[in-house]
Amino acid sequence: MRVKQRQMLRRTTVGWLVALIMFFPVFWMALAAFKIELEAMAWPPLFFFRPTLEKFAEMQERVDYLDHARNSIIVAFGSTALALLLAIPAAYSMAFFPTKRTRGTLLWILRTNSCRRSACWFRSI
Amino acid sequence: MVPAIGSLILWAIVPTVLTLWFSFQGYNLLTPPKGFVGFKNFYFLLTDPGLPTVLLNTLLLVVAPVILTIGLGTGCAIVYNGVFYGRSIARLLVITPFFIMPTVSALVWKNLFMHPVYGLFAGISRTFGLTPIDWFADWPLASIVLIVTWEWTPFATLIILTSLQSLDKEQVEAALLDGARGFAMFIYIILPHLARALAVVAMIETIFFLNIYAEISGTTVGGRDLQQPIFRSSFTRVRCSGLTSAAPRRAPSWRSSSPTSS
Repeated sequence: MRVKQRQMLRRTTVGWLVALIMFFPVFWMALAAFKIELEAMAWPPLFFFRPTLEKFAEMQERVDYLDHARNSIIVAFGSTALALLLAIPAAYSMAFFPTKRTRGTLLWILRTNSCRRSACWFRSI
Repeated sequence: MVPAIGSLILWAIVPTVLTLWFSFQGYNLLTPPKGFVGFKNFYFLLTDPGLPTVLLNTLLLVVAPVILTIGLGTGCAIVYNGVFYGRSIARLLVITPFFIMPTVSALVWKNLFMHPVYGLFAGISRTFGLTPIDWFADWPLASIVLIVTWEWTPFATLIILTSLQSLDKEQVEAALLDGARGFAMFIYIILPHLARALAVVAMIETIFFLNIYAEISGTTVGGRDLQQPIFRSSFTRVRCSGLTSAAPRRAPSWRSSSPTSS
């Protein structure tokens, strides 16, 4: 029992330590969103401050964030839906009715995907 | 079956063929297109004096994070394989970096953490009496590798964790009976089982790291009035070749005060 408990304690410490280290930048970023500039740059770092939504308002005012965000959401969900629409039937047929060329096709698609993004960017011009 | 696979192949084949086709065309964003120019684009690309640096940087930028994420990911996966209090929440926290937009994480790291005056790292260095490191001026490639590793370790962790959880309990028991502990267990039982997952992770990460753009532009090019080799080269000499995927990645060299420019 003793060993089990000690092991549990050790695991909990390590597990949470890793989690907090990985999560800290995200946490810090979220915190900084509610600070004003001065507080965000302050040293020693401020964990307790008066939160404000001022920066959100400024963001919306400067670049019309909500409009861009809506576009992003449409693109993300739309492209996912479209990709699924194409991929699910293909995957189904590849899984349940494989042919000699199925594996080759899959590998080829994977290989040619590697130059995808920059090539798309140039092509879009 | 044919329609589904056919459309999928079409979706994949058309862009690839077009890319190849464009690589033989003379496109310049400022002047009218010149049409077929043969191998001129490739000639420019291969005789570019900055090419070896670019290739080296790209190689480092792709290989280093893959190794780091796989190493750290395996460690995290082993940690999260064992049961402990609040494991599911902790696992969720570990996965969060992967959900942050690359541009956002680049800016956050650059300004909140790595900034030589206002950053957290600088503050910590000052507390210990050391001079703060100017991350993006002195160690640009290392900084970007750090950011990319932070972003992608959760991905590796997830995949390796799922593979770990499919480890055959009976095999582990047999090994324990044979006297295998810790390290020996890891080398002889766990690692071979993970081999496939590690290969998948390495492959997917390599594909994505070859396409890294946001982290680089968000840290060393965007927000600073330095030259922008990527956009510059695209507006003066668009080399729409399949090899061009190497050109945009003019990642800063290992030690330089500005992005390498030709």
